[in-house]
Amino acid sequence: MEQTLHDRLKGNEAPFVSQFGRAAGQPQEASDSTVHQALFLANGEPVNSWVDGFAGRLAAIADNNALADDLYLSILTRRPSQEDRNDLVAYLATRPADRKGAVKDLAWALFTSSEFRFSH
Amino acid sequence: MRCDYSCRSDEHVMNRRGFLGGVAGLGLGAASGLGSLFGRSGAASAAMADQGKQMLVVWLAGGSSQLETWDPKPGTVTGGPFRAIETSVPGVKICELLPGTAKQMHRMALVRGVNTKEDDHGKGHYLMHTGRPQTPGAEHPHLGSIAARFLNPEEGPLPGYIHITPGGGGLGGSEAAILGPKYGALYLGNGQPPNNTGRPLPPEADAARHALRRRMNDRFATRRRTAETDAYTTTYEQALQLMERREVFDVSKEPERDRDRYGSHDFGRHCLLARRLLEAGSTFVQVTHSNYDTHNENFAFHLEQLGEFDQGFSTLLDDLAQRGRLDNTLVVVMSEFGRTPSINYLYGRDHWSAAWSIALAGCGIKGGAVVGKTNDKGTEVVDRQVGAGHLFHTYLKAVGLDAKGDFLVNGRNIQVADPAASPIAELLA
Repeated sequence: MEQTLHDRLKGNEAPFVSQFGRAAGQPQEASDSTVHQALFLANGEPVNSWVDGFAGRLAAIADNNALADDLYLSILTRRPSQEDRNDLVAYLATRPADRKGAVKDLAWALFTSSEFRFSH
Repeated sequence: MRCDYSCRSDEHVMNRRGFLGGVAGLGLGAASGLGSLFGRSGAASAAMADQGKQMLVVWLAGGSSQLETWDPKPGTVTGGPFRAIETSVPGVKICELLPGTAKQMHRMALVRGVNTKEDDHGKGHYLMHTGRPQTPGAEHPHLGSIAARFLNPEEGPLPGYIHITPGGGGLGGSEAAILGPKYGALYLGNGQPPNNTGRPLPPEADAARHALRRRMNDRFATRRRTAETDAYTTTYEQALQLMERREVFDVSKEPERDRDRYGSHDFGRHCLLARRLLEAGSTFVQVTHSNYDTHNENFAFHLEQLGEFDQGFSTLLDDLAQRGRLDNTLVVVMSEFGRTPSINYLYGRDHWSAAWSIALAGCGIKGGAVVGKTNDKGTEVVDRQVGAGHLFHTYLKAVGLDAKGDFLVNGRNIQVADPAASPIAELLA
């Protein structure tokens, strides 16, 4: 089962390796951040299409608490704090007609956050 | 917001708060006018860009021949087929392959006594970019990273170190060494804009999600804040600046008659892009021209390459002067090393670092100066021999940087230039 998962995800590797990997033989310093990586994560196709798919599934969850749980557990592997929940509900309220778009933004923000980058 | 790493000085705290405060307001306002929110008022930052020093390096990759450029020896057994021509400086002659540049010589200085004792491409590249020999375990920052770190105002609109290459673009970071990846090079492969600078959403929507991202990061920062998390969040602000300024990378926005003057070849376009970037306030721009590693057919290749170089470079230098920018822009033309006076059986010249030349112009440089001399055949330096360390000191002095100073970077002292060397006073105005 792991092999199947690996095979399915393998295609996504290449753009990330090109941004985050180093040439063969060079030391890998995971904490170096570059503006190219930021551009890639913020605007690049892989990340934006991924959050789109992810948001499609999550936006269907009507209960905001459950949505927050799923979102934070999926991306940050932790439950949201009360402040996180409040922020999420407030943000969803700014886009009542476009729940999926709002969830997509939330997922994107979590994915590009420094917590995601450094906390696991 | 208290900054628990680095220097803890009040000044640091104030700057961080100011920077973050200015940036946090962005998400709520309209997307237009982003540029001016990233710094002091528009007028002040324009003034700063005007007074700030800038650097332009033209890198002739492969090792261009000093005998076919700055220090010709016509009529000798080593001189090759080309003649020497007069320049705008009486008594100074350069190779006939550089007629346009010859007319600019009064703005330039030549260093003909360079002896860097390094014939290897990689090590020569490192030596000329950092002013220090490459040794295992030590990494020194490039000239471009030093310029980005110490000349670029903190709120500068563009990345400090931009490198226009003939080939690949993309990642940089290791050039800055101890200064940190923020001061690494932004490579523009074949002069193309950086990837991913287009917004995937309309500006207001994008601004809204960036505001969300910042709010989450601010909350995380109260629990955990390090140099690395700051560097990471800063790259997003830099990315936004780049996106806002992406037109700057589009050389087709320059008038067509300019594109003709610079030459309808890649190097010409890259020189025009360099002018555009410098006018937009870019601190350090490097343009690489390839390929000068002429182990065979040295004369044919130099004829061709220098034809492109001469047109692009002389036009660029003249434009910078005409537009009043040359006084604040240091210009350096260099290579890893020069080429052998002796001509091999393939009509080529091989690597040669014992007696070669580089050229300078602009900020702090004495126009028309020629420092150093080689013998009749160009096989040895006979007067005022200098090395990479001296040159490096000279560049820094020309733009007003203190090369002898110690800079405290993350708790370590680094000396910006090799303390064993010193600037070449005869070159400095």
